[in-house]
Amino acid sequence: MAVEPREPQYEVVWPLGRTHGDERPSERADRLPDLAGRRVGFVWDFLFNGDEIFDAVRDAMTARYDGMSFVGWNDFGNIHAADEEEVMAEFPFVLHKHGVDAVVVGVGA
Amino acid sequence: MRACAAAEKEGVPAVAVISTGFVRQARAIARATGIPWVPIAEYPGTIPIDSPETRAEKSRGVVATAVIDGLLGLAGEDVGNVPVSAVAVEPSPRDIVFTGSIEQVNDYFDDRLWTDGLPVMPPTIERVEAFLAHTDRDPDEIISVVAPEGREATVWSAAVNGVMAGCKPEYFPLLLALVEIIADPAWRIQDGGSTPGWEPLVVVSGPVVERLGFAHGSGLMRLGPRSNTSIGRFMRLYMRNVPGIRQPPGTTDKGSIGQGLNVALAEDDEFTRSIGWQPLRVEKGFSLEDDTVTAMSVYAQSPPVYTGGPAEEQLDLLAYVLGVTAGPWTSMIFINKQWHPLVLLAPPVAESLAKSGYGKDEIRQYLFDKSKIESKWVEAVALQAGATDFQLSKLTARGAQPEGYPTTYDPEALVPANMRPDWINIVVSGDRGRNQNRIFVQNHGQAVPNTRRIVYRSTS
Repeated sequence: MAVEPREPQYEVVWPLGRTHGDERPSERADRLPDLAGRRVGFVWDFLFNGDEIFDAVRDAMTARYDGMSFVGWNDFGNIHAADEEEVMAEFPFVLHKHGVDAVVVGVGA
Repeated sequence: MRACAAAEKEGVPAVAVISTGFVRQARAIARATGIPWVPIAEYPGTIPIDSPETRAEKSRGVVATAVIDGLLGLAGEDVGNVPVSAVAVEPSPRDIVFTGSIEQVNDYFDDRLWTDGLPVMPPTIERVEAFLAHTDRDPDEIISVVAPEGREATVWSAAVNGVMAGCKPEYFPLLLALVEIIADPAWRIQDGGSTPGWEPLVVVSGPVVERLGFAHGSGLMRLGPRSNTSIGRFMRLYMRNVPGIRQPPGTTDKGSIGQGLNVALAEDDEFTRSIGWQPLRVEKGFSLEDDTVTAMSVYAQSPPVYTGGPAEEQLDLLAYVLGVTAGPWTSMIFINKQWHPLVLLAPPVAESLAKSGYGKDEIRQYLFDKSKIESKWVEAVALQAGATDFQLSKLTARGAQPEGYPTTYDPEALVPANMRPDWINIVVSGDRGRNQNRIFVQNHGQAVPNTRRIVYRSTS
């Protein structure tokens, strides 16, 4: 009986790279117990009609909660354009300067 | 997600607004950047397609509810599924992850999205080591940690993917230079999955073109020659496997249509110099003796542009095509303040321009001056992409219009289709018997042309 030639077998290695050890989950901010009296920042990538979306979200929030205030996207700058690095470097300072309690970031689309 | 992570780090809770088609990508990036818990407020549907009234209704309704729930901690945590490409326990570089026939290896890799759909050469240790013999660098050297999946880009992984792409071992120094580019933060690999769907274009310049047998004549952009083809393939394969840019069923590549594979473009060095022009590597600051690779994003190409006759008539036609091919995207150019098209000139065309007294700088200036588009189309593209802040009437009213635009709003006004003449790249290559040129359109601040010198093993 003829013996079928066996196909070559290849022992292969992994083509991906290891997930870097420093990429541990970041610190998690506490959620808010209530939005009444809170200051919310809108952070925009200046795309996908985010201004309209944020305006509508703001209106919905103020309809439900008293005393809310808001920090607009122009105060933060464009987080997805030529000045992104500078904007993100300033971002923590802008948050604290305005006393922001929470942020809404968008838009991914 | 970067802004979400930055906020969370400052103790400020964040929620991300993401449209339906991008939720999986957002969750994958959130996981990779260490913030899997950040709530996502989903906008149902495709935002720019909806009317303003529909956008407002959805945003006041389901989006606002999701935002509020997310900030109050009322949204359930959904960190999404683990990517198909991931493994439960990450192997060490030399671990054997699978043994099988060539067909079985390809099926195994395909099931895990480790391939590009074409058969791969099995990356055995012996094949990988054949590549490593062409560098002095330590195989375990971490060139960088690359987004979006936060994986180590190493000398070893460059060799593994080079094997898979069908490269020859002697191509390895070029592959390392390309990984250096991918790993350069200025190249912005994290934008590799953006919706324009750009594809990297590699341009090879220097004596290496002849030494490694790159095609640079007729059909230079077709699959065929192993050097051009496998090196072009390597770029995309590496972007899939190490940065992790994968289209569905992957999660991080949201290129809506996607540009197809670009083979490596090899410059016709001999011809370029014969007409008195400097080759690309010299323009990028390297010497004639150096070998370089340049990598850039390309999301579209012009039709073939046949030119002939007086130099100015040829340049007028090239300027027109540059304007209509790239011009509609001009709003993004000015928003992102980067724009680097590549004009591929046929050798006979370049020679005729040179004989008329034009060098590359003069051609760049001519194309910059003459390449225009009506401002109404610039604005239309911006608005229909949802970049609602780029309304020329408002920008002009406050004196914030882009440079070169009229100071009073005029939708019919012709405005520049380029930002700077020195950002127009010119390469001479292709059929030495034909007058066909082509323009490659680059995606603003994403993968701006980046040139690296190829470094060979010291004992080569």
